[in-house]
Amino acid sequence: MDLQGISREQKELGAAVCMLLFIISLFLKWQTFGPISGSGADLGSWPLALLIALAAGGIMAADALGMDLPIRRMNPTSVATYLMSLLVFYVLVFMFAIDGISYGVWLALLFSVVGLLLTFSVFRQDTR
Amino acid sequence: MTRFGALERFEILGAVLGGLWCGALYLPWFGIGGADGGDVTGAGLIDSAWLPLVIVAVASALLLLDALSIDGFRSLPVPAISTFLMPVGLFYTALFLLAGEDIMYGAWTALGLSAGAVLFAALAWITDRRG
Repeated sequence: MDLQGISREQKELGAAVCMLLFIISLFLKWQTFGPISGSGADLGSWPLALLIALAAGGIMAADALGMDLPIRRMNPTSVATYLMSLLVFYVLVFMFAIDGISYGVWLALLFSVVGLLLTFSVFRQDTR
Repeated sequence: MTRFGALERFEILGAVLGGLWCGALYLPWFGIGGADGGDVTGAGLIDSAWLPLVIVAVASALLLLDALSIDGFRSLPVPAISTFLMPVGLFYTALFLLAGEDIMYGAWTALGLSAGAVLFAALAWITDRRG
């Protein structure tokens, strides 16, 4: 896939949508172990992942829509890139730890990685 | 005796605190819920505790090697890479502190050490950028 052909705003909105989908995936089935199943929201730390996804997605959406962000002296896309890399780490930590991984984890990984790639692409454009 | 500049001092402090955080993973973090009814260490919380351990260990090693001016690391933006990697330890600690009950001294020690490691890695990065 050639990311060069997509405009900056499209990438930013795409990343924001990925964060929204990541949040939805938190409420899908992450684990199936015999008769027991659990969602990402059964993890005690899920509010932290939710807040990070909201912040990262909000930054990208606000930047795409040309809104002023109250982040002085920092590149908003670098902050969003960093936050999304934490989400990838979050999903990987639980993927390696959970027995009986279900589709929700894979979706969470997919949305966090695609969001990170799109945001990183914008960040690279900004720093060139 | 070698005199270290500000950059090297920040790098060494960040590396030491990062290394101590790796050790703090093996202190008791929570007082209940262990498989044998005993305390749970940071490393015993989850099977994938090796992942943040490896990431923080790499960040600490890079800072230390850069501070000691080991050849081969000069071409890498080590303070920037370490500033990117080091918060993983703080994030891991915060994940379980927010979710856990009956928190013990190990978790608070890990929180302090990881916050310190992030601070000094960031200070090294800022110092490096200023030249």
